[in-house]
Amino acid sequence: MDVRTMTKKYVGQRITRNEDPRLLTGQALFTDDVHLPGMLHAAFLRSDYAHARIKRIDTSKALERPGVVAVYTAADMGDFWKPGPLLVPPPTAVPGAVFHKRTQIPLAKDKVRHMGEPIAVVIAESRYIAEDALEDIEVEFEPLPAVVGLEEALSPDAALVHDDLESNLAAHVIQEKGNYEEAKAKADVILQRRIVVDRGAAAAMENRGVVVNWDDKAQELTVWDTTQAPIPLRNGLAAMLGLSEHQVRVIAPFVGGGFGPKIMMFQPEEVLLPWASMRLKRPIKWIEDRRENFLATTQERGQIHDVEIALTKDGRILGLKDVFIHDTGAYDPYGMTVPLNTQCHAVGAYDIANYYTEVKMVFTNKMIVTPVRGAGRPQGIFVIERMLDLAAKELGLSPIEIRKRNFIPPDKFPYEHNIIDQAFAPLIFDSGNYPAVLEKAAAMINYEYFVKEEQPRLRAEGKHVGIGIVSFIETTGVGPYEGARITVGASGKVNVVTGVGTQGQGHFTSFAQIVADQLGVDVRDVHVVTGDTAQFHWGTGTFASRGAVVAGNAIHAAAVKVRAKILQWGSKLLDVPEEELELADGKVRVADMPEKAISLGELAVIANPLRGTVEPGTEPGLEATDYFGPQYGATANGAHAMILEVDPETMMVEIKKYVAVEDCGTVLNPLILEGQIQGGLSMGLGNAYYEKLEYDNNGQLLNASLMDYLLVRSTDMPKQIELGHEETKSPLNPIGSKGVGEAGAIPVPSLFAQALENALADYNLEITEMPLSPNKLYEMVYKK
Amino acid sequence: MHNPRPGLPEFDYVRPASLSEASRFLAEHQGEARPFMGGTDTFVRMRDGFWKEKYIVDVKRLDGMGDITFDPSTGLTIGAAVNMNRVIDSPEVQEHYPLLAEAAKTVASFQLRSRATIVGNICNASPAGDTIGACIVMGGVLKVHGLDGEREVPLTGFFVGPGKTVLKPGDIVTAIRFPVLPQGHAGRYIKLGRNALSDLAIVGVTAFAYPDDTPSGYRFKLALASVAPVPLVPEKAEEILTGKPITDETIAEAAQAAMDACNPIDDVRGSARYRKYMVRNLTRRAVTDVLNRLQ
Ligand SMILES: Cc1cc2nc3c(=O)[nH]c(=O)nc-3n(C[C@H](O)[C@H](O)[C@H](O)COP(=O)(O)OP(=O)(O)OC[C@H]3O[C@@H](n4cnc5c(N)ncnc54)[C@H](O)[C@@H]3O)c2cc1C
Repeated sequence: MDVRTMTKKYVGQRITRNEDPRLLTGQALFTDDVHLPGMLHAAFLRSDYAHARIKRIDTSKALERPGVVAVYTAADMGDFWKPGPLLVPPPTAVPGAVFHKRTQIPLAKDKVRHMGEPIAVVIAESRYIAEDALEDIEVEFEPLPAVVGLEEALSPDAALVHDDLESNLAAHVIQEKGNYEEAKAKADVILQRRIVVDRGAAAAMENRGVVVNWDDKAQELTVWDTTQAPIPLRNGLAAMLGLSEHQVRVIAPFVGGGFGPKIMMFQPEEVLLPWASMRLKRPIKWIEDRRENFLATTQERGQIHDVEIALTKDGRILGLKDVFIHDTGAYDPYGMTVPLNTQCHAVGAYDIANYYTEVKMVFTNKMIVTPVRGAGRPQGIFVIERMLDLAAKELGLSPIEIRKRNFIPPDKFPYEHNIIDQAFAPLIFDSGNYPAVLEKAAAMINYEYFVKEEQPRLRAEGKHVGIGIVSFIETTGVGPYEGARITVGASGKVNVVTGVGTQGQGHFTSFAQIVADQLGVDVRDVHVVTGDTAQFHWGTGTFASRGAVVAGNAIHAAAVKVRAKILQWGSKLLDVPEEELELADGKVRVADMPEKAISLGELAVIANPLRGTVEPGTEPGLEATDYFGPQYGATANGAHAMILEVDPETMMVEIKKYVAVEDCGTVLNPLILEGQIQGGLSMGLGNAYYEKLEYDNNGQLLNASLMDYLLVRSTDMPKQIELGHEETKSPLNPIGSKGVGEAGAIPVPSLFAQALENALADYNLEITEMPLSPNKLYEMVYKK
Repeated sequence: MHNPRPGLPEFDYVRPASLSEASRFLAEHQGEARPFMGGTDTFVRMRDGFWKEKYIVDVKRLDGMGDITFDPSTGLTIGAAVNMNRVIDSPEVQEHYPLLAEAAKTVASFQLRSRATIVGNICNASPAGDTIGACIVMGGVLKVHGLDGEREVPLTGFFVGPGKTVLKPGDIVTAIRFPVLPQGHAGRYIKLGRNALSDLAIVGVTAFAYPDDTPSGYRFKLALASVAPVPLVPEKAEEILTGKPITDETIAEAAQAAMDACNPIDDVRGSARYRKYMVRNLTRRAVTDVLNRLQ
């Protein structure tokens, strides 16, 4: 692109967010802000049992309660009662893969499979009445033994979560690159460990919610939903309800945090309420409360790994073998995305020629597992980074040195892994400079100085300070595609619409920056619309760190087209060749004679004439639509480092300094990037030391409240956070961007473990489990 | 267990014109009426379905309930309705009873403390109450208005079990009174949650001492939170610290005695084992801090 045509460049600038004035003054519309005349309210009767047969349901008393409009159970749903669709295809791309599809159901019929599973819905004039009526419903259960532990799930005498299967095995996938056993035979050092990662909650600030309105006169259904994927939800609901896509409008308004569970579609609540609204011909609202969110919003991370790593004596990895069990909960609607991500991330940023990875996915009587920020990646990174740390100790190498000896070298990209990733395509890392990123992190945390000077001094003072440094990769920006339509209006303002939903990522700003640069307008004059299927018809959603990459590049492509139109019109009207024009200040003008100009607003009117004739092939207006689908996903990477202090008498931890260096390709807006990293970091810290969903042997979730489930607060965040960037542009898209939405969360547990071991060096501690807590760590250290 | 469907039930809000009227109303509606101050325990318990009161009785505006008064010859009186932020900010508290401010500062957050009260913390009788230990070791006495008029109730023996006290139907605590403290006193409250701030205590240790004619040269008072069904005074540990010259060994012995005195439970927030060890470690620390402050 000609630099001359750009007066002010927004991409890469640290500009404040376009959406914040609305959000900060309470003007933004969230699902619960939708109030419609005659609106009814829904409440769900949820199972208190993790596993039980339903012998009898009697709703007659509930129906008698004044103000109750309807009560539905599975028996009332007729043909509409169906298991949900499989959202991700089965892993047939992997030879020999086994997969048993058992997707969630709208209301439990003859048995309940997890605590919190909906059994009935009451629809009433108010939420109060609806909730009171839940107590009127009688359900007779026959409790069954609950399947809770991952290994126990596979034992031959385990109860069956799905009676029609032979066992609780949901899937079995083996992938191999090279030949691990041969590599092992040549190794000097072989380490074996069991590594365990347990569940946490996504715990978005806004719980889930749905408002539905069937307009019987217009024969149109409108659904406001806290979804991350409005368009696929619209398509699916239309199909289920026998409507055309044009009769269904799904709006994902502002959403207070997605973090993955809101990409899980066709959840019982969002399927049932549209159906009920069509029958009752009235609008219905359901807003999840926090306890429901703990029980019935999808969760993640439970895995048990048996890992073996084979190395030469100078610390080169010859091979890695990882056999693990992945907990999918009661159903598996999200296919194998999470465990496949784990398989693709357990190789980390390293050049590993021989890799054997085997996963058994199991059904348990716990809430369904679907991606939560990180989506299997933190587990994979935890496995490889931990094994490298242990190998480094064994070989007397520093954590930095062992990583440098194994990184994929910068000249080896694109690097093919010969295994299949979550998109069922071969895993290829497109670009990166891993050593540079690690070195930058080491320099920013002052690694050498700390280890040689500061740590010995502080230790002599009796302080237990530790340092850690890890690296990680993040597969991002997966296909298939997104699209966008860009229109310059008569006011000169620019409208951008795209199909993805937004949950706080700053899309209204970063997307506007891309467009403002192309069209030479003020970034505040670019209005972005996301998440309304009436505005844009095609697309998939916001997930897998793909918004900026896939939607961002679609927007870029559409903006390039509009720019071309503007130049064409400008050249004709100003009577100069296109090369002599520039777009700036909301005008197209002659670069050398800025007073010779037409504003984009005027041009928009001219481009959409009311009378006269147009040339054949003319499309009206300054508008264009375009799409982008990457060849394969871009792989970002980073290195995080931290210094922490542990109080060995309580095991309370204070993080003194935290450094995160990211390479997510072209940085659109550093301010937004920092927000993403800091937010991810807080979730990662939760996964490391604070947050754990505690299920007991009966499958009861013991800490289903924010009093007992401990979220990370600002006072637990590092005292000092410094961010650094490396930019290796992705060759896979014109902007050169890679995703970063999950990056902050991914390396934290592995980093935390390394730093803790370093701080407690005199206790000879080995951490192979996450999440920990001060209590748990204390018991680990003093168990002898 | 939790209420599977949390939500406030319906209740009537009653605001009596006088303490006698309030006491009478509470006694007449025994088991279905409850007085409240900040309501930060009351409404949470009701929402979670533990309490099903029909009447919520607002007594916080009645005579003197909102005042803090200090008299150098008789001591400090904090009205039952005074919120914790006001206690923390009070110059008299800071000067003469700093331990109370130190303990109150560990309660939740600024927002919560602008409603929560010390009397509410005491009457709620949770073993985890953060300000209770400070009130016990400084000799706090409750002023109570009941059916038979006013009386004073000391905190010793006040707590009967989790959420249970010796208060009778119709009793309303109007204030907590503290005597003038001995010269040269010092105190320390160490709260251990699962994070840096705002969690409930999984262990809390209060230590308080003043110079006295004893073998150690001090009189020591201790109280432990979250390690027994009621706020616990480890008397043996107090005796050790008072009855022997202070050395590292004495402190360790007292800390061990505190640990042995407590009987915590395992729950989702912490194991009994960890809690016991924390009592030992934090008692040692709190006593050491107090000794440093005494000098
Ligand atoms: C988010 C949150 C965090 C919290 N964190 C902490 C914490 O860190 N540490 C801690 O100790 N507590 C904590 N609590 C609990 C609570 O805030 C405290 O116990 C507080 O001191 C209660 O005071 P209150 O005035 O709000 O009590 P209320 O709710 O008004 O009353 C509590 C109890 O005392 C009785 N009562 C109140 N006033 C009187 C009276 N005058 N006479 C007789 N009986 C009376 C009530 O009937 C009720 O049984 C927390 C609570 C919440 C909601």
